[in-house]
Amino acid sequence: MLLRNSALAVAVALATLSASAQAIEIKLTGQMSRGIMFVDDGIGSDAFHVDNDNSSTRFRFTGTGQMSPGVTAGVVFEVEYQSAPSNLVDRTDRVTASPDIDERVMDAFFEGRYGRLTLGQGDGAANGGVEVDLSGTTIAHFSDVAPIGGGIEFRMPGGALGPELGAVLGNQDFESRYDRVRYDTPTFSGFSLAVSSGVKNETVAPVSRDVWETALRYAGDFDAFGKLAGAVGMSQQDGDPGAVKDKTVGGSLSWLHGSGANLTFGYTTRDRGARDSTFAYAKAGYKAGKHAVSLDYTVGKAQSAAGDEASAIGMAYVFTPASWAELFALAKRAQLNQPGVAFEDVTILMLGTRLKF
Amino acid sequence: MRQPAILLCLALAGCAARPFEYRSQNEIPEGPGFLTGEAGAFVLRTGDSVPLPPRESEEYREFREWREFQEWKRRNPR
Repeated sequence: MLLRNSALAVAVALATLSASAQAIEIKLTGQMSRGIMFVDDGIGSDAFHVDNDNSSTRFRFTGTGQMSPGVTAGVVFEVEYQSAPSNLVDRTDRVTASPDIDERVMDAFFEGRYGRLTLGQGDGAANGGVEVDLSGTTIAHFSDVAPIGGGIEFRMPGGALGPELGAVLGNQDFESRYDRVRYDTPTFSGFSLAVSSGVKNETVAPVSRDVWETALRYAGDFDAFGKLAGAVGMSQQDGDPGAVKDKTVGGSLSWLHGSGANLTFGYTTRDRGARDSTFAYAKAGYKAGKHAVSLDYTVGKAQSAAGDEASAIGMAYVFTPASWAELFALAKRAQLNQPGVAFEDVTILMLGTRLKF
Repeated sequence: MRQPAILLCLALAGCAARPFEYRSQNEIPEGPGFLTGEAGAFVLRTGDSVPLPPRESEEYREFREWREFQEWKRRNPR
């Protein structure tokens, strides 16, 4: 009986494993990313239980298969599910009552010796080009200040509400994710080029806007000198009716020395027709084993109105006790200067974790 | 004239390095997961991605014995 069952098990295993001549691999993975955020806007303070929008709670299916000799076809399906996203909560609305499943990536791709062609919803060619960062602390802070506390409003001394932090201090990282076709070249000595073209929705009619982007990326290991990674890119999106096209140019560069010391820089300029808004970023850090610390400084000019200037200074510590677990602490202080208007500084403290499952 | 020369020098210097794959640390991390173990994902493979050894081989015999042991253990719990 034992032998008969074993033989049957082997037969089933053999039948399963030889069912298809093509190798197909499907993976399911994800992460939980939560934190407690404390905010003081100069008028009052609150605590928030948030989903860390630096790297949100999400899960992903991927599948790849050999389509023909030398050509791999694949799919990526990634969604996020955030309860009280750290970039949206404010002192009036401290939770989101009914979180939604939001699309992030819905891609089909073909990859071979001539590069990778991607169709679907996902990163534009330049997306992330302002966020290249080797510090090991990006779960706590990176070039974009807005994902943590972006919905918090600056307050005037009398308590009146001003612009949100995210509206005056974004990193202008091109066009993010949208429905597009994208082509990435193979890597040549660490360099690769990407282009994309697609359609993105805005809130002002015409809602759907044509977008195109391009970016040059680099990642090289210089041994004793350390690792260097960076990107430069540009994007263009159709503007509001009667307005010029929305154009962004910029990039970032990050260097990680073998000692663990690291430096990161970013810069973008965005042509908004009546004004050009800019963003500049610098970060210095150190990482050793399971520990990483960093200090950063961000400046945004004319992002919400001509003449405004916002800045933020941040400090973070990330502890990685296991490859799938990160714990972090973040402190940052942001200020906004507008001609003729005074605003209180905003202070944000956060403790959080990301667990990959 | 100076800027293209600087860019060319930087590009040539860049070519001297070993390429590595940069991944944003704000994406789902590579590597093990606390539920998925070393694989880092729940993985389903079909086709010839996990080929079995030839039936006549020693490896196949060990595989068959292992499957038999698993079956015996399932049927004889402590």
